[in-house]
Amino acid sequence: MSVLTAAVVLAWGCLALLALAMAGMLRQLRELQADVAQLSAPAWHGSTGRRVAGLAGKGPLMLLVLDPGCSFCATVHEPFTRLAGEHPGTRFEVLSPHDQGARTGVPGHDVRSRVDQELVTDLDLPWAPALLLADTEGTVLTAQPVVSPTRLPEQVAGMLDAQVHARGAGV
Amino acid sequence: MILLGVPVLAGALLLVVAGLEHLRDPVALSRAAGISTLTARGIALVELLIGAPSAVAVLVGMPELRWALAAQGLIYLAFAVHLLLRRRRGDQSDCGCNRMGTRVGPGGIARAWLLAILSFAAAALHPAAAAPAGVGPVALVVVGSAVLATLLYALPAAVDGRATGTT
Repeated sequence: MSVLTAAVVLAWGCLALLALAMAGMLRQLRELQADVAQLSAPAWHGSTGRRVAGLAGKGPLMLLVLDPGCSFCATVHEPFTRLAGEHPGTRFEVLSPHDQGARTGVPGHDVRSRVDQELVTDLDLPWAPALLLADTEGTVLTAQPVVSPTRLPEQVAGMLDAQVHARGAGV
Repeated sequence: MILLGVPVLAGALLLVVAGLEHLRDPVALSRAAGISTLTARGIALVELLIGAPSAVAVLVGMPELRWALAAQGLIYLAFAVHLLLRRRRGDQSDCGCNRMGTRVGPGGIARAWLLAILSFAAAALHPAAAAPAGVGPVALVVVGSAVLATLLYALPAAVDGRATGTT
């Protein structure tokens, strides 16, 4: 094998290593961004523990609060609708202050969409889109900003699990 | 056999660098591997005593230094098995690969396996695995192995990420 051929093969090997390292660093960067997003979201206790009559119903409520001005509210709606089938004991509802036109629903998943400016103002959530969990009597248990559409399933599951654990611990 | 000489020389350079780092800070290695500081110093010396002659073996091609290449293969094999066992236990702490505080993971394990296999191959083929005569080939082997060693040094940290716990 000539020196030139060896040099070319080695260069390709180094490029492959660089690509591997870059892929690893990008994965770490995404993890870091997700961690930072969660850290930077301030703990919100505005309506926590408050009973809101408009949220009461049969079973706990997972409410997605949208806003016409938010950048990725539209992309959150469909994955949220899909999640309703994975948590049958929980009511999944979408709340927005204004009618935002037709949304892409998922057939077979009954998710109630509400337009209620007064309720949005009453809840006074500092983020959009946001997730809010309430119990059967309409008491707000917790609320969080939506981190990203792709992480929505684990975020919803985490909120529901945390609530189950809190109930189990008597909190 | 430039293609074999370059990664093997890179492995030898990594051993020398690891030896120097472990000699300067044996506590880090003792914490990472769960051994005494004295043993950590011993390992650092062994790394230097194997890495340096192994590098000479590739560059000069002395048949008497075949043992260094075989020993380099053994030390990387032992490290690969050590990391594999720790990973199977679910250990997420510092692998002791270098001072970057890298977690035990597939990047570090694959690197150790690869260098072990190539070192054994070089020992078996020595002195054919040595750098060919001439300025061009020797320069290619030296520069190529330096670049590869730098990449391999950072690879575990890039692929596996930072350590999250202690042993």
